[in-house]
Amino acid sequence: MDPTIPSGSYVVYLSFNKMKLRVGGLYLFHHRSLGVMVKRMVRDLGAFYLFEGDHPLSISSCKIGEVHKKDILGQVLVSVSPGLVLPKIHREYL
Amino acid sequence: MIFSVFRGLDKILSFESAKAHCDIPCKIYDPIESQVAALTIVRLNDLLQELTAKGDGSPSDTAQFARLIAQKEEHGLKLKEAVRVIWGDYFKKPQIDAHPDVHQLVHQIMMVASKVKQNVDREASIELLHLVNKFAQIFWETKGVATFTAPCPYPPNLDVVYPDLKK
Repeated sequence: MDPTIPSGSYVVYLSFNKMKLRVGGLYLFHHRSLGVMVKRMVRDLGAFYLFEGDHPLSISSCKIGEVHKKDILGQVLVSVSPGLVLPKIHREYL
Repeated sequence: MIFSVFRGLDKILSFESAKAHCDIPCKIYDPIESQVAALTIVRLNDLLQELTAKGDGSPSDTAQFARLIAQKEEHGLKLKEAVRVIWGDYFKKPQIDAHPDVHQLVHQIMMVASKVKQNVDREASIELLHLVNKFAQIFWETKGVATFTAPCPYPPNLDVVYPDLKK
């Protein structure tokens, strides 16, 4: 998720049953073939959601495919990256 | 400081990993792409020399010259991209610790590939093949796969490092 969350970072995420999902937020979700991923939500299509990374070379949302609510593990609140003194708080879409 | 705390906790609690790859983590890496590109560049240099030796400068030969140069350029770029992807995406701390000279080698490949693109220089293209073979050897070593060296069964019939997948 470069440049927002550099490789090797730790993320703290929030998860609860009636979590309100917002386009633009960073989420952890379980992908059927790629495993657990961190990506930004780009579309809310009602029945499912689309995600993509912040890097220009990130895989596109069509390659990630549709992600259903049941597969969303939570929203990223904080990331702690190597080399950074302070943690980064991702509160812009909370 | 905070990162160290998280890393310490990770060692104890083994946090789950999440991926955020820029590329699909297909794990398909093979240096043969760069080796074939290097061989092609040597071959193109040979064809360019043959054409120059012919020296009649007909429109047809001029067109052929332009095509060969364009292909040399394209394969130079292809080679650089193939090596960069393996080095940037596949090589991680364990592989780099085992082969600390890989950075220097990749940089050397980039430099020689540029030289090969800028000139019609057979010697430089052979040096490039030699460097890419060395890169392939390191790559297969990181995979625990033995290698052998044999001439490629097509022009320019130069030595290539191949993985010995039967072992």
